[in-house]
Amino acid sequence: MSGAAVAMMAVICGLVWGGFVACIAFVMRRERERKARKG
Amino acid sequence: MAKETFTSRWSLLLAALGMAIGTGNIWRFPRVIAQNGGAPFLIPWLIFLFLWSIPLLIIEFGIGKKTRMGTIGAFGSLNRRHTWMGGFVGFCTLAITFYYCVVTGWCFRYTFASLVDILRGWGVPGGALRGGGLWGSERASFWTSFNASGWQPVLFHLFGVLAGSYIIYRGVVNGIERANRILLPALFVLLVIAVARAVSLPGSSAGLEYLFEMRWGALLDYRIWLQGLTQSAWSTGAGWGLILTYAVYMRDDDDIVANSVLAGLGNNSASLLAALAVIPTVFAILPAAQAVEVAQDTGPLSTGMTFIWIPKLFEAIPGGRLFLFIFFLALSIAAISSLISMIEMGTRNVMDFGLTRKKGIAVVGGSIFVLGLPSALSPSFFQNQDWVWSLGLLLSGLLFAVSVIDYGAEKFRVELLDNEDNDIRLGRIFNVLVKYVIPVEFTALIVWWFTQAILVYDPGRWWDPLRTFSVGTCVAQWGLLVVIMIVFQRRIIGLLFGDPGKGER
Repeated sequence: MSGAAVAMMAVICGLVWGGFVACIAFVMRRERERKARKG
Repeated sequence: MAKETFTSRWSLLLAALGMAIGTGNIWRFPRVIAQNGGAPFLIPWLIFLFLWSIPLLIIEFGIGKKTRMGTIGAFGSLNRRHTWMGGFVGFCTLAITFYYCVVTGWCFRYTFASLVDILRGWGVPGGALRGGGLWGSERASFWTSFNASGWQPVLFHLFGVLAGSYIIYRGVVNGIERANRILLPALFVLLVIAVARAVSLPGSSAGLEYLFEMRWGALLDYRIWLQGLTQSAWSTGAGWGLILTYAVYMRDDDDIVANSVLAGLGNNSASLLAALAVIPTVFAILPAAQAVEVAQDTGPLSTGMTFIWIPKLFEAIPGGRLFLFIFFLALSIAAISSLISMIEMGTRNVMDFGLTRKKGIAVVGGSIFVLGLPSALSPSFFQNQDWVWSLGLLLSGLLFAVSVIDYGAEKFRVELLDNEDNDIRLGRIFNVLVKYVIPVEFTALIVWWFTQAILVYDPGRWWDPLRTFSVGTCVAQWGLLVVIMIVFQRRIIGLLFGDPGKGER
């Protein structure tokens, strides 16, 4: 694989999978905060 | 009002992901990437996730949460005169369900056949399981004999109806929620296993190179942008009324915006996994030129790569029987998790008219079986319905935007999106997306697809409503549906709201 293809794979997979995982982490944190607020 | 609710935000999210991730992710996406030259296609596909799919998911979540009714009642709740729009959206998705259930049956059949292959590989006599396996058959012969038998597509279509209806019959918590808690994690695990196998094959790097080697000049081709938008619109399930239906059961303080972003990105994550499972496998086994040709092969009823080539390709890899089973099991899981959301959409609509869930599922399940039979038995009928109602979905997406514009995009945003329930505030960008971006995208898509029909698919008879891929057949079938819905609108309003004819909001 060329370096450009590896870089593009990192960008695309990073945006899609990284975004998905970051979103899950964000939702988990917000849910913890909500539960803490509600006691 | 719906009484059941999802027990947690995660249950709602799993259901939303189950709805979004369907056969289109595993079956259509790898082929469409190949047909559009690989990496360049991924850019518009990703951009339109944020410009079409996520805004429409947000709208659907918002309308479902506000109105707590199926598509017909939801549109009618926002504006009585728009009740027909909810009818169009609901029927359009139901019409897709009729043949999607047939497709689910194909997935079941191939999963069963690949299981037979595993058992045969372990030495279980071939006669122990009837129906035969995929292993060793001529490339297209299994598909041909399955489809030509007539009874097999019908039988497996029935299995699809029964499996989906049973889950919906169990209700929101015991049916939809419990099923998705098992199906979605299983689907992601199976896809990851398939990807690990594919990228570890000698020569698979050629496939990765093809997938990710950027050719920037290709982005100047408008068709790549329109294909990216089309794939995003069809794959995420945005504008189908399915998320609206699940939103009926969300808790009062559940978030809308972050949930929509997560569902959209989850859908694209699954698509990318599927592409990484399929394209490197094709390139590892075949010479590059033939690999591109195979990956682009549409085949009969778009079955080309998935149902005809994949079984042959997996014969060439060590452990192929197991990985073929894993592939088709993942495809079946994706199909059923989407199918149940479609059946629930229909059931929710009839329940709004006063039917119990049990009676509702009998009506909807029975209709899906009977009205799916022509697609199970006639490839041309299947293709016509796929053409008409897939494009109809784009119109459904526009109708959601029109409904919010009519209600007031700013009012909708302030009431439902930018409040304390939501983890992310959208701001006025939402108004711009709804009022301008979505209508422009719809116009570009519909003009392009109809131009394709006029210039490429059926130049001589593009106006003819009896042709499979014509503009005329779309206009005739959509028009008939709209006329029926408008004629019966007053009666429907009376049954749903008890105030026929009032134009109140």
